[in-house]
Amino acid sequence: MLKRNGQRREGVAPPSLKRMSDAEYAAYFEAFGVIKGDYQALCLIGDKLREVEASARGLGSFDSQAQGGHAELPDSAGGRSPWEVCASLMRLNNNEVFLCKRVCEHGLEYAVIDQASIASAYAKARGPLDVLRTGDNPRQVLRDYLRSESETLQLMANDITANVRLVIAERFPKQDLRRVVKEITRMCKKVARLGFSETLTNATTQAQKHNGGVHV
Amino acid sequence: MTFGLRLFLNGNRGGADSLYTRACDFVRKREQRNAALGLKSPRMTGNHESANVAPPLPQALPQTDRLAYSVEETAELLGVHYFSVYRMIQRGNLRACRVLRGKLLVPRSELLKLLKTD
Repeated sequence: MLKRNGQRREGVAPPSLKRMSDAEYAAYFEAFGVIKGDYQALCLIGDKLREVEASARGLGSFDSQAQGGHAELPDSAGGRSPWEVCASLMRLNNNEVFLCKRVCEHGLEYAVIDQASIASAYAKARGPLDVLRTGDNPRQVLRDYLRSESETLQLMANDITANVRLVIAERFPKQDLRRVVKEITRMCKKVARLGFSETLTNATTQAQKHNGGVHV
Repeated sequence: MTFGLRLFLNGNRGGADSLYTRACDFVRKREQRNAALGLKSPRMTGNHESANVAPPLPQALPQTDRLAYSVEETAELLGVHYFSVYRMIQRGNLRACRVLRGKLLVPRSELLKLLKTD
């Protein structure tokens, strides 16, 4: 693909950006080059969470893993039984998130636990285990965990787009590049959106249709 | 007490109620009061250590002039993945502030608070 001035255009522009000016193309590739690693991490985490979400719908795979695996995580609070690992939900370099269960006085208790590396400064100060969610219903625990992670993904996406705005403001001052920022923001938000939130939105829309008819 | 100040105070000593004597009396009385209350005295000791000196930094944090760190830098210092740092911020376990264009920065004081072992 050639530019208007005959030079070869490097990279592939997003199809949604039609009729971009040369300045917009340059800004897009410059900004995207800076956030590329973060964007890939966002995609990776989003995909992993979508996998968890798909597994949580059935919970069958988690049950089968639970029967096979017997790894235990010691509870930092003294006097309580250790957590038995049911499934590994996500692994990110030094951290691994597990779905765990243990027997307590009123039956089984489930938890989603983030385990940090023992050698890390955080683990030395706060302990390696961070209990993210607990409850007696594994589906509910996973649903709450996914909802919380979705919000965290949105936060990460917002931070990435803030980086984009910074880069563009620094390297392309006094140029109107709002379309570029808007496009990258749209891409990040799309990746950060989990399926269940769409399902929730659809459910809400349908409920509105049933209850109140058409709103003008 | 520095040598210069001592010289100044000694030089101005002019009797029982001189400035130097009054300063000594004040310090002595404060020490007695602190001892009675079981408090540590903030006076300088022989090796020039003071009770007001900040506690030693956690080893993860380098001694720099930085006031805040980006999320990636925070993750590196804590030894965790940066998604975990975003999660800490989201859950309110780590306070971050938004600076220019909405970028998140973690204040050094908050990191110190998080790494402080009880």
